[in-house]
Amino acid sequence: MPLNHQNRDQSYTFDSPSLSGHSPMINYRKDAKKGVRFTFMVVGESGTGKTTFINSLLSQKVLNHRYEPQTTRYVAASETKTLTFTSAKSVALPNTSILTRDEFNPETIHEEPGIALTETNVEIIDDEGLKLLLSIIDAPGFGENLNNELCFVEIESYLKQQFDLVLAEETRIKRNPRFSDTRVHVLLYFITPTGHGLREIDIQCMKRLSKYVNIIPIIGRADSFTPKELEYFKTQIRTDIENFNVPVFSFDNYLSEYDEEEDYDIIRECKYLANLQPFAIISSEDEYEIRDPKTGQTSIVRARKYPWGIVDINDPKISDFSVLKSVLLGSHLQDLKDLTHDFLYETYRTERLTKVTGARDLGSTDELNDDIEFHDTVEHHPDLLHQESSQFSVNSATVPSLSNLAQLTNTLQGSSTNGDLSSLTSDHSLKKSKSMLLEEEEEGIQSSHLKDIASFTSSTSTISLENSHKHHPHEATNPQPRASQNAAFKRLSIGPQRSQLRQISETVPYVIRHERILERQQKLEEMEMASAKELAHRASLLEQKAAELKAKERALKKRLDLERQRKQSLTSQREVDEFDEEEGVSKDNGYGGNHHQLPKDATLTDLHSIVSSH
Amino acid sequence: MPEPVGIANLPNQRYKIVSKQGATFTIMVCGESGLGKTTFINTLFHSGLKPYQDPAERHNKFSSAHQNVEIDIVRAILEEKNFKIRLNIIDTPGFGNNVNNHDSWTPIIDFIDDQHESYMKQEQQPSRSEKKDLRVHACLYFIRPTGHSLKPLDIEIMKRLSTRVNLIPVIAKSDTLSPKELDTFKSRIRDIIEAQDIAIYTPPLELDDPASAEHSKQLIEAMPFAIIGSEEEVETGPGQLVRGRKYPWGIVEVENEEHCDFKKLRSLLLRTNMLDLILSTNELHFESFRSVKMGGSDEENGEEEKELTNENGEVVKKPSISKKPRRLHNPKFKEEEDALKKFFTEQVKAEEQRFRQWETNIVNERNRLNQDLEEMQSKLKALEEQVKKLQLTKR
Repeated sequence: MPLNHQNRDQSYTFDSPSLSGHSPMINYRKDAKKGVRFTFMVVGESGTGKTTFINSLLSQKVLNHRYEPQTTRYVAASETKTLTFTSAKSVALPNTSILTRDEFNPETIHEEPGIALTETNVEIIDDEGLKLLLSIIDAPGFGENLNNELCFVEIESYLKQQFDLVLAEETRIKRNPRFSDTRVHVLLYFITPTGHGLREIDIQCMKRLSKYVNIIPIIGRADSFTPKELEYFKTQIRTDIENFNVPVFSFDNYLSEYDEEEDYDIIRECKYLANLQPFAIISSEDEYEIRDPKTGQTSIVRARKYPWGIVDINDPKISDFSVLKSVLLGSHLQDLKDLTHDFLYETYRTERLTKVTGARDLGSTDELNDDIEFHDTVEHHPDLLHQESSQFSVNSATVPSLSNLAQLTNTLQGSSTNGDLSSLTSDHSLKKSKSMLLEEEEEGIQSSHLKDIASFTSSTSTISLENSHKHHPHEATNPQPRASQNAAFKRLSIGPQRSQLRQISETVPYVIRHERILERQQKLEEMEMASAKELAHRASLLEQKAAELKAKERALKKRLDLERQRKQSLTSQREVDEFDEEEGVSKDNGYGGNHHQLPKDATLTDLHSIVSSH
Repeated sequence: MPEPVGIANLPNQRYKIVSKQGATFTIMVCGESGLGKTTFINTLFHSGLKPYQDPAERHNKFSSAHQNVEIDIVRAILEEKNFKIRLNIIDTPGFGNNVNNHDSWTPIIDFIDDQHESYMKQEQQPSRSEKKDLRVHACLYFIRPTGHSLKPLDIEIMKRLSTRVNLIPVIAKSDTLSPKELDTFKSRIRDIIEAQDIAIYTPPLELDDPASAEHSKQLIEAMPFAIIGSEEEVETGPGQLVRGRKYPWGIVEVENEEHCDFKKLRSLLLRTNMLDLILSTNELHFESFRSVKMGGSDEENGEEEKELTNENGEVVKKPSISKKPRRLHNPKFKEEEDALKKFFTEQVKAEEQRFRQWETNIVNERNRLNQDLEEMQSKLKALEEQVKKLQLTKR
């Protein structure tokens, strides 16, 4: 903790460009060699400044703008690949969509773009050789469809999938050493700068996704507000966040964890950040020369240039850009990662395992009941009792042991989740409760499991004494209830549990995969249906058009015939006239000859015209 | 030289009549919220005509963020040099704010058609000297300054608007786009408008008057207008107050041609082309509506209208379909009704639950009190017993 503390202090100076200066990563030499993975996602409507923000955050051109030709890319290291694509109409193929083709075509702009997810990997190496592996996930097309429901669904399912992958890997007996964690650690939500507050889409999106990811709301393009308007807008957003219970990442949640005197600076910093939220940023890719009016010195900065002035994006008075940068890549990077793993992922895991295993174990009620009793005695320990929500007791009625453990860890973590502290304490308690339940064999599996957790969280090696003390009574009192149970019961409960655990570790990855496959299948079926419908619709439209065309053709033909006949009748009449003059043949005959050639309905008018022209 | 007869005075007489009658002008502002529609109106007329929406009423009362598109009308009479103009400003708050924006244009399109229809009905009345006219003369569509392109929603509604009113697209809040970005954005929008067959209003080119032709040309070239609105006056120099926005990095002047096209738009709307806007509404849009409505009195016109609506793909209701069934079929109303019903049942359930809880609480309380009472009584009895015993022993 003290080490961390020092680093955090530094992080708060705005103009520290190097990562090592303010990253807690300095503690992890090992990590430094491997590189620290950090994944973040940018979500927001088009034109809210996502691309520009990323490019200015990393001080290099990483992403291309919308409709920008590919050739302008000059960072070879980064490559954008499309992860998923869903079209709004379900007929369009990925390569025909505006999003993936990415060129400006005014002819097709009225089509709904659907939504895609793209990933860009960037490596940043700072002066001290620390490597940061950044994955940036962008969601182009968000908010651009007429019905934007599918945008949340798509992003949500992507986030879920990443959790599932980790979960499957975790439960496996043999693990893939090169498994890479693709969970998204933070989602930057770009609020459309309306000046009024949040809109339905913002609220719904943030609410839905907050289960799977830390959300930091951001006001992009803050240069469209005067300071007064910006203040008003921020207040409105804060009220909306409160009113609609939008669970965004908050900096002042765990302040009570810190020691009032020792960590005074951290507390102050977090409070400052909490007051600043939502961050209002201005970003730019261009650099301009600015002359300081006081000293007369010129410096080159990233800025936006308007006819009425130049906006320096690093100026903390007008833009929170530099603060956000230091939060994201420095002071809170580890916090965000830890929170993702310890809180969000754990909650998800609990839910998931409860569902997967709960359904399977309903059959063996006898042992289960015993199990419950056993667990109750363990877990309704006075120390924990106040933390356990009522949901726990509800769950325990149907839930086998593993998920209960998860629940236990979860409640513990929920109570003390602030990165550095939590993972160790929870692992500690996890081990405790497990060691009571399991014989050596399971221990083998589980300990690897624990190691895994530990490596994932990559927590600090500092255990606060206070915490370990807290768990001593837990340890001490536990044997008593266990001792009070009879031995037969113990055998009964442990027997099935052993196989159960193994079963879980064997089946969970497959169950998860199976579920995903089912989901995908269902989706594909839906899509097929929709496209069939769409095709039928199009076919009927085409048929209609064909019928219309045919009718038109017929009408035209008719007219043509008429025309021709009229011409003929005219020429024949002329002939008749000539005849008249030359041979004096009676007119009646000439008309009679014409009469036979004309179709019935046309005769009358034609005759009429002939007569009138005569 | 003989004295003129006085025929040349006719324009002057006309002038008097017109200035006495005044004029009616209806502007509709349309676009997503937060694009400065209200501010623009207030900037345009130099007054706080239109009040801002109360932030507390932005969202639905039923604790959902869903918003319905509404039609909001502000009427005002403006007087300048004794000439009165009756101004109607129509706002469409809530447009484009929802997750699902399908059909969110229906209320707006319906409103425009309704005005045409009511005007037509009034025209058919025996006495038609006093007509209420709310036909929209100019519709400003506000485009979000994304710098990329238009959204499908923009295109859908602009297509529909363009066949009914004089559509003038404007880029809102253009002070967030640098000149270079603005140029690209404008040219993209122009491309889209052309490619998508959106008929925007263009001022007529009068070839016999080179000055006005030049002016019109400038206006056409500046489309879509990039505007900035502000109600505040800020100081640019000593004693110089202009309408503008004051940023820490500089002052954006609303009436500065280098900063935005506000002046051009104002000229188009009020100074040079107002009459043309009013006339073209009457001659073009109202006429085409009328001919469609009257049902094939003018065959060609009707066909044209049909084609225009067919191009939009999907199911487009022709304006000739009578209004009433369409009203009933508006899916938004249905949705709202369902939501309300759901809300109601939920509320009722919650209340019932609460009452039940209350009841059980009361029952419990009563039981407890009864128990207490019994205990008390038994205690009393015991005490009485004791007293008796004591009395007995005393004796």
